[in-house]
Parts: sequence; C-alpha cells; structure tokens
Amino acid sequence: MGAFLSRAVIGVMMAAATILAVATLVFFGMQMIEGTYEELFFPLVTPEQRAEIAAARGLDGSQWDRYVAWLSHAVRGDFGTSLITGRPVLDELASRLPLTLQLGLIAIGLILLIALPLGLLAGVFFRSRLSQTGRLGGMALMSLPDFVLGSFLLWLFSRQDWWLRVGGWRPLSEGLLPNLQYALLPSFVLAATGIGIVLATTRSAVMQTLAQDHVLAATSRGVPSGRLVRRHVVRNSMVPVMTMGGIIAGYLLGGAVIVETVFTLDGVGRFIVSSIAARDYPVVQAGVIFVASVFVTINLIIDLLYSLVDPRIGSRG
Amino acid sequence: MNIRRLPSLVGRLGWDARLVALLLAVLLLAGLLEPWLPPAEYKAPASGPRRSAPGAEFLFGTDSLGRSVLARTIEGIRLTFVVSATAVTLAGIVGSIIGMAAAYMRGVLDPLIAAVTNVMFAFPAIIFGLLVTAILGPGTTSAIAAIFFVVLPTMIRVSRSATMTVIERDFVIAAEISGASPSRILRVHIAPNIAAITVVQLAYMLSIGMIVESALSYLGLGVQPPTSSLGTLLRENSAFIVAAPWLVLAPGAVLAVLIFSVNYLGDYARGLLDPVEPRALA
Repeated sequence: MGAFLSRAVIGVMMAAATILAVATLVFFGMQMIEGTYEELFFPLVTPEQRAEIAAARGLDGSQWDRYVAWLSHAVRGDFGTSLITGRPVLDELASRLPLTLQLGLIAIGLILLIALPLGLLAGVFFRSRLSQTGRLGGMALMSLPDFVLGSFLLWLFSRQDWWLRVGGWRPLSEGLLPNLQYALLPSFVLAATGIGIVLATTRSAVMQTLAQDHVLAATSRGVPSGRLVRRHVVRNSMVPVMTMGGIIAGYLLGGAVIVETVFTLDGVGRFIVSSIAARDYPVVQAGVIFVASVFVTINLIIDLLYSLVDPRIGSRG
Repeated sequence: MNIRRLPSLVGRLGWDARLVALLLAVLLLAGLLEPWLPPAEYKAPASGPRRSAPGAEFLFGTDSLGRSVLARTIEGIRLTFVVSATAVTLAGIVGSIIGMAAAYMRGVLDPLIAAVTNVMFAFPAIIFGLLVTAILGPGTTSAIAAIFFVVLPTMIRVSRSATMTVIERDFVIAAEISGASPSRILRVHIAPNIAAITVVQLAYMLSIGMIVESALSYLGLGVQPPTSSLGTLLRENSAFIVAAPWLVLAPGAVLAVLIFSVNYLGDYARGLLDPVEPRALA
C-alpha cells in the first residue's frame, strides 16, 4: 500500500502543477488577444476615460502584477466577477454547470451501456460478421464530427414527432421524463465519438487478451468459456479500455462546446466560447481552469485505478 | 518496422482497403483540382436559383445566394484537407524530433518534455483550439496552429515510445560502440525504424486534424468566408437546416466520408504493421 500512497501523492502534485501551468497559459493567452475588453466595449471614449474604466475593473497595472493578484485570489477560491454581467464568476459557472454535467453524465452512461457490452461481444466472437460490423460501426461513429451528427438529428427530429426534442431544455427539477425528452439527443451526440472509441478499444483489447498464452492454458485446462471470459478476458482487457477513459473525458469536455452550440443550450462550454469573444477574462480563466481540473482529476483517478486493477503497475512505482 | 518496407504494405491491401483508398483519392483529387473542374463556374453568387433542392442541374442544390453547393463542397474538401494535412505534417516532423531526442538523450530533457506534453494533453482539443485562434485571430493560420498543437503531444509520445524500443537493439549499440555521433545515430539508425509507425499514426492524426479544423470553422474561428472549408459551410447554412437541409447535410456527409476513409486506411495500415492473432474460444 506504501507504493500506492506515494503514487497518489506524486499524482496529486503533478495534477496541481498541470493546473497551475494551464492557469498561467490561459491568463497570458487571454492578455495576448488583440482588442482588449476596454477597447472592444468602449471604442468612442478618450484614452484617459478608457484607462479609468480599465482601472475600475482591475485591468490596469503590469500583466505580471495582475497575474499574481489574480492567482492569489484564485487559490483562495475567489475568481472575481464577470466583466459583462457583473456577477461573481463562480455563480455564473455554477448556474450553467448542471446542464453540462448532465449531458456529460448521460453521455458516459450511454458509452458504458452501449460500447462495453458490444465491444466485448465483438472481441470474443471476432470471426463473426457481427464483429466486423461492430468494427465498422465504431469507426463510423468516431469519424462523424459532433456537429454533423447533431445537425442531422436536428433535421430528422424537427420533421418527425418522435417524442425526443431538439433544442430547448427542461431542467431535472421539472421531472425526469421531461428532462430526458430534451437531454437525450444532445447527450447521444456528445457520446457518439466515445461510443466509437470504446467499442473499438474494447474489441481490440479483448482480441489481444485472447491471443495470450494464459488464455490458451486456461482453455486447455478445460475452464468453461463463460468463466474464462469473466475471469481471464474481461479483467485483462480493462487496462487499455481504462486508458481511453482519460481521452474520452477530453472529448466530452471539448464536445460539450460543440453540442451546446448545435442545440443552442446554455451550458458551460458555450459560455466559455462566448466569453472568449466578449473578452470576459475572469470567466474564461476560471472556465478553462475548471475544465482542465476536471480532466486532470479524471486522469489521476484512472491512473490510480490501474494500480488496483493491475497490481504489477503499482509495484513498479 | 523499417520505413523502406512501407511500400510493400500497398501490395498487401485487401479489396476493401483498395476501394476506400480509391474513394479517398477521388475526393482529394477533386478537391485539389477543384479550380479547373466544371462545377467551379457555379461557385459565384446567382449562378442558379436561390435555395433550389438537389436535382439534375445542381446535384447538391444551391444555397441562399444561388451558389452551387456541389462546387462549394468540393472547394471545402480542398481547404479542410490542405489545412489539416499541413498542420499534421508539421506536427509529425517536429513531434518526432522532440520525441526521439527525449528518448535518446534522457537526462533532464525526458521528464521535462513529458511534463510539457502532459500539460498539453490537459487541454481539451476544442478549447485549446479556441484559445489559439483567439490569440492569433480567426483564420487559416490559426487553424493550422491549433491543429499543430493538438496533434503535437500525441506525436511526441508515439515517437518517444517507438524510439525506446529501437534504442535497445543491437545495431544501435554497435553504432554507439563504433563511435557514431548522437545526431548520426538518430538520423541513420533510429529515424528510419520509427518512421513507419509515425506515418501510420499521422494518418490517424489527419482524421483528428480534419475534425478539429471543421469544428473550429463551424464555430466561426477557422477558414473565413467567402472561401469555405466543410465546417464553414455547415456554420453558414445551419439556420436553414429545416428549410433547405441539403445545404447542411451534403457537405456534412462528404466530411464524414472523408474522415471515415482516412480512419479506415489508418486502422488497416496499423493492423498490417502490428498483427494480432487471437485464438477462437472453443
């Protein structure tokens, strides 16, 4: 367990360093964008007035001083107020989080429910025609950009009344069924790439496991195939599938931007994009840090889970 | 596998891969030769009626300015492909050099590069692309830069781990003992042996590049009108999805086919390089 603990400590430190690096990049990146907040929104005032406006919003002084001030507030959980709405950044993000979070969670559910069982079947019965179909289907889903699939579903479901709705939103507080009626299609679009990736990875991981000698040994010992799949194949195929978990998390976070744009949903992703255009520095900085933190945390958890699934990884440190 | 053996893979392609390769070649050739093809004449506004449905005269219909959607889609193929291929090729070259150096030099360089690539991975591709385009301003150059940085960490990782497996081989050790300089070892002994795996990875990355390019253009940050990549076409016409669906569905379908065929060939080539032979369960 000592190895696991030191692995966890190093992991947390690496994660913190990564988030700090991302925060720094975003801060100075936003400053580099041509056309500052005060230039964009107050084009017709004198330079003195503009300097005053900037000072009132804490946008004066050297970049480095502002960076230090912002960072020292941020580590205490104070991300400032939005330049556009004047409300605290965290409130703005929190009010949009449930929608994005829900899209992401339903998407993860869809990926696990659809891709894992199909991938396992396609891997075990790799000679069947169904397995080939699964491979092609997975690849097709991977190749379909979110906004193409989203536009297609938008067109299809705006013509037909098949209960599911495109565009608009009903929060979970209005009941599960009305909520799903609006959330299911965007979530599916968000999940599509992930379903393709996990299906393909699971299939090839299972096939790789079946090629190993310990499976042959178990077969020749007469282990029944159901037990063989459960005990030998599934567990050994988990590691490559879990590696994809981190990549999937990245896809979901980035995909949220696209899906929210296609279906005009008011979530965190679209908020960050519109805030870049509006030079709402505090919102972009906090938003990107949030996205990066989610991503880094998921990867950290996956990394630690490896050593539990495959004890060899933990002992190597 | 040595790069010199890569052409021999072509002879081992099955009929399905040849068919997909043919499809891809037709799409890309059409895109690259677009300015000299007959549909190019109908790219100008008022070439036909406005928003007419697909028919014999305009195969993909016309858009709200009376431009042929077929002509604009073919032009879109060229821009989407050229932008992503440029970015991915650059990232492949730079990434392999960094990856080889990290694996071969070790020392402080290796963990440093690993840390930097981890930070780059921590950015979701689209958000990363958004920031790059926000900093450089929307346009083709920033789309190329965005794809470059999205693809770079993967290329570094792949070439680094490929180099790791080659470094231990006898011929590298023999070259070191006979006094070859590090740069000669990297150029003569390592680069040709990691090139095949890098090239196959590049094919995959090309499909990612095309997805990122079209997504950025869809968000209005990539190729700017009046020239259009496939993503720009979808953005421009997304308001007409109900009234004139062909404006969106035709370029969307072409984009999907383009990405699928690149993915298919990449996967096929990887299967040939690294065959897995599972045993059927009794």
